Amino acid sequence: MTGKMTPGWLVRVRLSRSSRLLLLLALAACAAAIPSVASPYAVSLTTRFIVFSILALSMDLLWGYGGVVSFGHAMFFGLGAYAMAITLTHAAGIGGTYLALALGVGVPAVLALALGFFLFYSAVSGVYFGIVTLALAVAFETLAVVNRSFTGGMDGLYGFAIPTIGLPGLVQVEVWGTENPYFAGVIGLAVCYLLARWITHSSFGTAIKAIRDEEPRLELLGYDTALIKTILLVITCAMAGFAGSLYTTVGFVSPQLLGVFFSTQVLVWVGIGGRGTLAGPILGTILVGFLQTILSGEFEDIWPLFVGMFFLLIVLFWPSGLYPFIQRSLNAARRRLGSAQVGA
Amino acid sequence: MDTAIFQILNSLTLISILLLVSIGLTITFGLLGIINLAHGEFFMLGAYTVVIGGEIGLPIFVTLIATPFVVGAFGALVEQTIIKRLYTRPLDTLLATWGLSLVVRQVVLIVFGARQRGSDALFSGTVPILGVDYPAYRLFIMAMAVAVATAFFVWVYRSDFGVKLRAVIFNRDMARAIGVNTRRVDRTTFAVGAAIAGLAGAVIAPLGTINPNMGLSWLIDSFLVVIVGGQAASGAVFGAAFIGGSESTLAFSMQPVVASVLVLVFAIVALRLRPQGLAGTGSRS
Repeated sequence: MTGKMTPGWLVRVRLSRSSRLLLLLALAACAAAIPSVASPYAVSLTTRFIVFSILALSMDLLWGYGGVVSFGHAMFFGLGAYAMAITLTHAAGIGGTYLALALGVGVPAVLALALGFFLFYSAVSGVYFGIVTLALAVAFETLAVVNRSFTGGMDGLYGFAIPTIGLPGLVQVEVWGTENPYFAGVIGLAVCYLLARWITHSSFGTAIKAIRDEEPRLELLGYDTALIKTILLVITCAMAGFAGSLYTTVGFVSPQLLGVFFSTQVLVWVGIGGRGTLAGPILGTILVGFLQTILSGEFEDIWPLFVGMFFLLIVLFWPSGLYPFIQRSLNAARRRLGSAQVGA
Repeated sequence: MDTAIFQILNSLTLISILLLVSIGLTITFGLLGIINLAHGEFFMLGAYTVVIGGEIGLPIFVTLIATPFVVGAFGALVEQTIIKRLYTRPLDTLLATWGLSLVVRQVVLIVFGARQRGSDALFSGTVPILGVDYPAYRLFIMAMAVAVATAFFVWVYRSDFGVKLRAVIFNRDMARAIGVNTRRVDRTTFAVGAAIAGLAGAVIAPLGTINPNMGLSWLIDSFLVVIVGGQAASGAVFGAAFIGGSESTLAFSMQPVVASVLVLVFAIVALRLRPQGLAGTGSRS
């Protein structure tokens, strides 16, 4: 599937150790400053995008690195959100929150395991996975609408207990309002980013990239590619479920979260940002997210049209996406700067 | 006894509908191996062609005959502009055709509005059959399914074009070497697949409601048929019988949503146990 696209993980801006550290500190300072300078609305919106970035990051691990196309990745996000919200309806407090988080991550992971067992261990090609996830996402969305007593139907879920984290009896933090969910999101994203970075730089990461590029060869070399893909699916779906659990603190848990259109948008975030890079999906989520907020406020019908055209764009004309483009431009600029200094 | 006969006739109707919808997909996906997620939109365009035909006052049988040509032409355009570039990239075809389906859906929504449309049937009324009065149009759909399936088999196995098509499927390079215009075979085959999807939309439209989002559920149904049936030419028949039979039997005793989810689970399990499909022989890659 990579064909003509330059794999983003090959193009890397080389920064010295100290400038990397500086950049990281600057990013952390910005992240810490946002709640005190921005309006509560802007902070909540940013929190949503941060939570969606985690989802996009997990989609990118699956699609950009593993070459597995899923039209139902948001389904795992939605399942995580529903598992969290339903558990919190029945169990409050710190214990309830930890149980809810465990289920929010665990339920999607178990479904992913089952899906991997049936689809990756079968002798069918990757396109079947895409089609089956599409059908599953539609089915889950309909089920959530129909089973009113369990999921609240179209109205969604609300009025569940406030998620509380900390140590029982010592520290207790309610993850609610504007600031606390924001910081929970930022920490969650940082943890997931580091996890993704660790995965992609490990030998497991090399294996999934190899599966994306040339699965039959890896199979011939004796790798159990079905097992590797199943593990990847379980990890990424658990991550999506974690993002969904975080989402319950900022957003509305409704059937749309499970649906195909939401999954489609996640693919667009990753594709526009740059699949196969770690910063790309985060960048794509935030940019496309703001664009959507601006556009769909004005013309609601136009947005899905844009999403469709983004798809054609990232497949036919711009497979590498934004982040590798920025990296290349930065590198070129630095080279020009360097040669100018040498000339002077 | 009457209810049993009705039940059997109803599941035959469902099987016929599924067969009609999935023959187009059997052509593009089963034979050419192109994954076309805009298949449901071809179906929807077929239904809308009938609606427009009715609004400008054309007789229904004229629009029924015209629909495959209209949708087939659109299919040829899609093949020429999008599919052509992606024959060696199946996963990207999946994404590109999904993008196309969103665009088509949304353009239809903007042009025609979101409201439900209906269309008149070619004829109405009931006819007595096996001791019950059954809607004539449903019998017409069964006849259409049989006719289209037969025409499809004749086209693939008995026509000159079918020989070229099978040669291209069997060995593309060798077919080109002996002078088959493979580009033309690809384009024509894709257009015929789209045309049959459009015809199915036009024929089935009077039974349900017509709206810009109708394509998705038909897309899923027809892919399930082809997944379960297999990519061979006869796959659609087996798949439609399996999916239609189990769905109508299950829907008899439970919520329709639960029934369709169960059918989906069946399909996933079937994919594991029989990856080549009910009709297939080899493995798929």
